[in-house]
Parts: sequence; C-alpha cells; structure tokens
Amino acid sequence: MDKDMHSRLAALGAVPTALILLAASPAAAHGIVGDRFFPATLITDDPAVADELTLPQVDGFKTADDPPADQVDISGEWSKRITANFGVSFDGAWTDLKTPGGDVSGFQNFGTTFKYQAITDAPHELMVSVGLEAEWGGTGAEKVGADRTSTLTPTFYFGKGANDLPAGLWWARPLALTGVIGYAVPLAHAAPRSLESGFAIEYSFRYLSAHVRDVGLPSFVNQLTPLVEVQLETPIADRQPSTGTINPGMIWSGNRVQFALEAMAPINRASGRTVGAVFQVHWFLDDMFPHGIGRPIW
Amino acid sequence: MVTRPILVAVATAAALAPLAAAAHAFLQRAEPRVGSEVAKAPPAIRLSFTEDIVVPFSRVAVSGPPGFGGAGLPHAVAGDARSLAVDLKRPAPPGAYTVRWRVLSVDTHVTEGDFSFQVRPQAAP
Repeated sequence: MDKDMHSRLAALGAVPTALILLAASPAAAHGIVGDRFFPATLITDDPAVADELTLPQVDGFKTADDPPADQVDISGEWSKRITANFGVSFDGAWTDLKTPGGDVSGFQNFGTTFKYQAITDAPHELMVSVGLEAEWGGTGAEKVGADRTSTLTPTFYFGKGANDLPAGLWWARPLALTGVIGYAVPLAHAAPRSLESGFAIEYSFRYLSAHVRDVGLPSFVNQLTPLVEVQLETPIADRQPSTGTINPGMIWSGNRVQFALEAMAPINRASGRTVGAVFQVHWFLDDMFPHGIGRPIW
Repeated sequence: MVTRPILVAVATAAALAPLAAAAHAFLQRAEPRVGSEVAKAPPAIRLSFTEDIVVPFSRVAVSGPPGFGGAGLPHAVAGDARSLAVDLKRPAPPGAYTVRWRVLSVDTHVTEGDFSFQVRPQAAP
C-alpha cells in the first residue's frame, strides 16, 4: 500500500474496519444483495433493513368521496438499523383536505415498524424480511380521518432479482420484483380487519450496464429505474371491494439520495376519482454518515 | 395552507445535502465493456466505479476458456481514484471471460458484482 493510501485510510479510521468488512459479507444496506440494488419504493415498502430517511414525500389526489375532496399528504419516515438485520422505522404524515365544506388539515396517526431481514441470498438476488407495523391510534387528527384505534399489521416482505433467467433472455435480467403482504388487525373489537398487499416491478438500467450488457447509455440513464407499483387493501370480513392504486413511475438513484415520481391511478371508483401523483426524496443515511448515525447500533 | 409544510420539508431535506460523504461503489464502466464481444483479448481489464475505491483491499478474479493464462492482482490507475485494472496474462485465447469483482469504497462499504465478455475466434488468414 502506498503512503498516500495509508494516510487516507488512517484519516478515515478505516483500516481495521476494512479488514473486518472484507472478511464478511458485502453490505446489505438499502437493498443491496449480490449484484442487485433494490431502490426504496414509494408506495410499498422494500424488503431491506437500512439506515435511510424519506423526506419529503408529497402525494396529491382526489378522494373517492362524493363530492370528492382534494387531498395533499406530506410525509416522512426515518429508518434505523439496530443490528445489521434488524431495524425500526418511524413515520408520520400531515394531510391537507380541500372539501366543498371548507379546508381542514392535521397529522395522520404516527406509525412504527419493526423489521427483521431474515434471508439475504446473494447468488439468487433474494431478500426476505418479516415485520410488525404499528399505527398508533389517537395520535393524529380525526378531522383528516385519523383513526382513534391502534392497528397492528404483521407483514411479510420479499425482493427477487431476475438474474436466474437464461442467457437468451439477457435483456430481462435487470427486472426485479419486490412485494409486501400484511394482515391489519385493529385493536378495537368490532373494527374490520384487512389484507394490505402490494408489489413493485422494476427495471434497473444500472444492472443492465454493470452486469448484463453495456449498451452505451449515458450515466444519468444508467441511474434510472422505471417501475410500476400496485397497492391493494382488501377488507376481510365484509364484502366491500378492494381499494388501491396502480403507480407507474421512475426512480433516479444517486449514491446518497434518490428522487422518484409516480402517477397514482385508482383501480376502481371506491379508490378515487382521478389520477394523482407522488414525489419522493429519499436519503441513504448509511452512505452519508457511515461512521455515525448511518451504521447499526450493535 | 399546504405550502408551508412543503417548504419546511424541502428546506430540511436541502440542509442534508451538504452532509453527503462517500458511498457504495457501483460499477460505472468496464473496458472491455460489460457483455461485449472483442476481436482479441486486451492486455488489461479496467473497472471504473461511482466512488473512490481502496485498491489494496479490493479483489478481481477473471476466469476464461481452457488455456487462459490467468490475471494479475488489481492495481491502481494513475490519476483515477475510482478505477482499478488487472493485467491479463498470456495466452488469452478466444472464448467467454467472466470478471468477478469485490471492492472497498473509501467509506468502508463493500460491494461486489460480475460480468462477462467474449473474445471472438481468430478469422482464418
């Protein structure tokens, strides 16, 4: 090692860490498994346990009410790794509703999610996690629809890259699928339960150029991930229809931050009136503060 | 009414931007290009990443067709802290070559990956 490299590593305090890291598995933060990078998705949660921050996420759409209201949500989420595979997230959202009867605004209920990344299979680009999402009833404003009842949602998360496809389908190898399914249980006796599910189909230009075939795309394009997310909420007990949205969009992933924009198309009349939109800025805290808040506590 | 919370959120996010440090090193370019077909084996393979890397703590393995002489150790590229190179020993016959890399970025994140390229058979004189 040359002298410059020595001094650089010493300045970073990186030599012992470097030796440990090279002996261990590669980093699994914000959805890296083998060659695959799973970006943070907007509507459905990705399977990775990571140190990251969503701030802000802004959604705008018309509600399914008759007459409809114009709703804008501004939300944020902070995710913190406790250990390399176990983390906790805190989320909150502020809602502004423009109704024919006047404007109302306030916070939605705050939430906490505990997630354990159980399987990280690099050769198959597979990631599986389990978690428990808690919505704390009564912490938000009823006038914007926040429930007084707390809800617990045991949740299963997965992500799978398409690297196993045969060589003839090389163009499809940048595809990946992530998904989530949860069973929402309100803590009030008579409150209806529901199935919360969703998935995202992604195509990574970065994966295409770095692992399959470099077709000469500009660097900016190589950092894009077109995707379609689908989110569904299905009542369990009664015969109400499922509600949800189909969300086509694009993510640009930098090395420390990503920007994403998606349309929000309701799947039926009960889900909304018109196509809305959601925009997100997402920060990779483990890359911004690798020796501080961005690393696991233990 | 909705403008003020958006401005607060955006201002908070913007305040984070100058705090950015180094990050995961992803492969940005390779020479020969990922998935390409070349007329003859190059003297070296060069890998360029999205972040500065620590070459002495990085590894590159190259496998090739029967008779391939192997690859040397990764070495730095002068004037380019984001790149490394490995020399290909001779013989380097036509066939499929696979490059497996594992690098350490200067912020101590490890990333890895692989890709292939082809060396075309020599045309008959």
